[in-house]
Amino acid sequence: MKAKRILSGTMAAAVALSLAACGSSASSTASSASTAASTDTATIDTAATTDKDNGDGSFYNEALGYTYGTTFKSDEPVTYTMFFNDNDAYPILDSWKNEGVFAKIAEATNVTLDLTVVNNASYSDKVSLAVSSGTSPYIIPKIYNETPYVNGGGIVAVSDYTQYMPNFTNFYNEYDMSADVDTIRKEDGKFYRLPGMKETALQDYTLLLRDDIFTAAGYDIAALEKDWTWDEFADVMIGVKKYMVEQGMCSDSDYIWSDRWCGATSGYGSGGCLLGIMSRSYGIYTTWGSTATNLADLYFDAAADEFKLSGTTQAYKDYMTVVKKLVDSKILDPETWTQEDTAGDNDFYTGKTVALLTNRASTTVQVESLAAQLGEGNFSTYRCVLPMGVDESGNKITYQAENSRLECGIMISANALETLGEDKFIEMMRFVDWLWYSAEGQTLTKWGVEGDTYTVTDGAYALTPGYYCGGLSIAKTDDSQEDMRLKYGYACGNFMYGGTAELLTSNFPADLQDFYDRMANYRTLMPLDPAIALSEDDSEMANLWATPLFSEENAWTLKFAMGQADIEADWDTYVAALEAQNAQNLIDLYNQYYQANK
Amino acid sequence: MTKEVDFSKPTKIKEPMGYRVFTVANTVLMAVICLAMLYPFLYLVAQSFSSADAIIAGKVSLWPVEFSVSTYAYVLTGGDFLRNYGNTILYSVVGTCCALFSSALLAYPMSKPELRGNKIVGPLIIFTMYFGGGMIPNYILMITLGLRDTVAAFILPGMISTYYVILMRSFFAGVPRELEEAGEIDGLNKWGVFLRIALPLSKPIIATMALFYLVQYWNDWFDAFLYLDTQSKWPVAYFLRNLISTSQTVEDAAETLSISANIKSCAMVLTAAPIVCVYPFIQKYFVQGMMLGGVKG
Repeated sequence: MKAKRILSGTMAAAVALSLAACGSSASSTASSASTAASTDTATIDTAATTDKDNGDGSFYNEALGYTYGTTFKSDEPVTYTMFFNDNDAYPILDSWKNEGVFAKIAEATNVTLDLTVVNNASYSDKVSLAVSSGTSPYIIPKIYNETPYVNGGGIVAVSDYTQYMPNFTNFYNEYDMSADVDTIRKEDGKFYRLPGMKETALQDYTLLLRDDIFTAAGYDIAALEKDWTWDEFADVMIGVKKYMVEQGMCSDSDYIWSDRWCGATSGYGSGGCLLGIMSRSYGIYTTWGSTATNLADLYFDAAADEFKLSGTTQAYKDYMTVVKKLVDSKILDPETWTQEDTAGDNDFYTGKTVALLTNRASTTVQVESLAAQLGEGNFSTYRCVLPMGVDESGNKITYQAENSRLECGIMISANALETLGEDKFIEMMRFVDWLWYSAEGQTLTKWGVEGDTYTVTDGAYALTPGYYCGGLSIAKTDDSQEDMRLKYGYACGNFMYGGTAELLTSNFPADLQDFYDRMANYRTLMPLDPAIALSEDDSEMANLWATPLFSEENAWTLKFAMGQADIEADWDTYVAALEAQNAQNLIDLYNQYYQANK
Repeated sequence: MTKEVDFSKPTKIKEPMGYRVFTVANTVLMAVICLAMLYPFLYLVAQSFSSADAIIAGKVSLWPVEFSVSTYAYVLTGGDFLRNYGNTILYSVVGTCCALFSSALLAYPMSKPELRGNKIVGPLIIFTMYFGGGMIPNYILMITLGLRDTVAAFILPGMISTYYVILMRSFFAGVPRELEEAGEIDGLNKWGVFLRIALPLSKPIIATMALFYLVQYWNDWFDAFLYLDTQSKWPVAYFLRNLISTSQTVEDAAETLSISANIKSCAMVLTAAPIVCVYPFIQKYFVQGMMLGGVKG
């Protein structure tokens, strides 16, 4: 009996202690949470240094024996462990280490990268496993979302060390990246991923149209794209279909547009890329673009000075009305939102459809596949400027869909700091700074070695005659040529994240350059939403609300898009369904943070 | 007047009309279901022997179009497919042998009620069926043991399946005690009794467990994902998983390679073929194995 009393007493004490412990960590409110907005982040200062200035933008640390800055070189050989995302499109070869990118990095810096190679399909899972178990390599590149790792303490708050990274800091200050980088700051005002930074946001996803058919139907895309709206685009597609039916190219019941990156797998159940870029044209979001840094379905209404839910806006209603028009007119195949990507591709390649989503990495393959089916010279394609949305007053919205100047980035494992000690860790960060943020490092990893794999004439980059590069959209012109990326590992996704507009576009072929010129002329960059850095508890709460909310919204969106629900008749039911899923709580939480940190 | 019955001829019982209709409908329904199950595999086979252009053009349904074995030549000679395929065979054979031996070695003593501590050890083993250590502790354990990127890391975790051990224990419990005692009287020690009497009498359950373990190792990709970093050490299931998986993030979709459908199909056919060929002949043992171990204990 006595033993029971002791046992129950001990258990009660343990419960009380654990509750107390929970209580002490759960004191998070919007007002107490420090956020990025309250931090002065307009510029980053570099640490005052006693290191020897070499006068060429580089410094020498005599104590540890290494040069850093515009160039990096360690006096003694150093090895850093690193994850490597291995892509089946260009699998890593021994030649990369012996004579390619890793050999050249070692040659330039005296740093050997000890790689843990992980296939692209398993990369996120493997990183998660290694970081969670504390066994991760030091450098973890190609990370899109660091949030799941922040609270576990497995990664370093890299913002604490940017002062030691002159190239990062210079780029950040020169191109005023503060608003962009603020979007990845956490509650403590720090960021845990070194993001790829681009001088300007380049619209990657757009539509590839069968120019020959549009022209034959009497539509000049180059003239129309300047200011066409999605509704006008739908009318053009209807006209094109009319022409195709008259010419016997298809029947009335056939669809002439069936797309990729939208299906059950690649569209992530939210209508995918197409609804993503359409909604952005209207100034709102779908959940396809949702990232951990922000629950993207909430958009910032600058006029009302508050966050709102995209799904219940007039803009949502407007763009879904256009989708309905496209589906009802038998233009856009509603199977787009359920099918495998290859189904949409195949319809386009065989000439059944006239439009397909594309991006920089896919266009070449798409055009080649079209040529394989239809024959070279029997078609022409045009990478068009996306149509615009309209606001509630009927004014055209000129924003391009993509507005973030950040790319994926690099996480640094806490193991590195623990194992190397701070001084050596700073040395490693300076190496990272050189490799990913210096012009020398970026050019090496993108183009290789000047004179060997590429040349620069009057500012124009070109591969030397022996090479072509599928990854840089530089086609093979001679059978004796080798793919530079396949052979040496240059231009691979683990390094090539950002840089100046000049470097970013240095490999673009003429048609792509032309596309970006047109984009620059016809469209503008949308301002970024204010950064909101939720506390750990609020972030968890927001996710609990957001998950069923987005699920409900996605289900309705697909019903509207597939013609199973009517945007007008079912609107009230739809809005009520979203409101029943804590939509207002989520909006209030964001606005509470926004107001507290304005 | 009564009708005479000729008993020299077998009497044919006429089935009622309803029963005949049911039989026909049942057969048709089953045939449709079988075809529905079979079609995806036939489609894969047809794709694997067709050209990529024919697949894109939507010409392939049940039969190969523009028949070619070049895809098989490409898959079998290029990349690591063949090496990974060989790994799978090796891992499956070695893994199954090791698993059978260790499982039998655990199950046999557990089947003896006189074993001291059996009532403690038994529940502890069963406990692991319901509560695992978790993926990350297991991962840390393997790393700490220095087994990362070793073949042992792939084989060891699957060597003892609690469920299979329980089935084997139940079977061993049914081996007549008298036979074992006779062996002991003739001079066999415990080890000899196990090897010369218990095991030979347990061939049915060992054969069944061998099939279970073989299929388990053949299909396993997850342990390879966890522990094997070097591609040349992967089993083919993990190779296939990476081949057919798409990128894990929206942002990364731009870089994802589009692999021809005929290559994917070919790899899938080659991977599934051994199991598909063998399974019809061994499936009865699967059911029998469950019954063998399940009714005793």
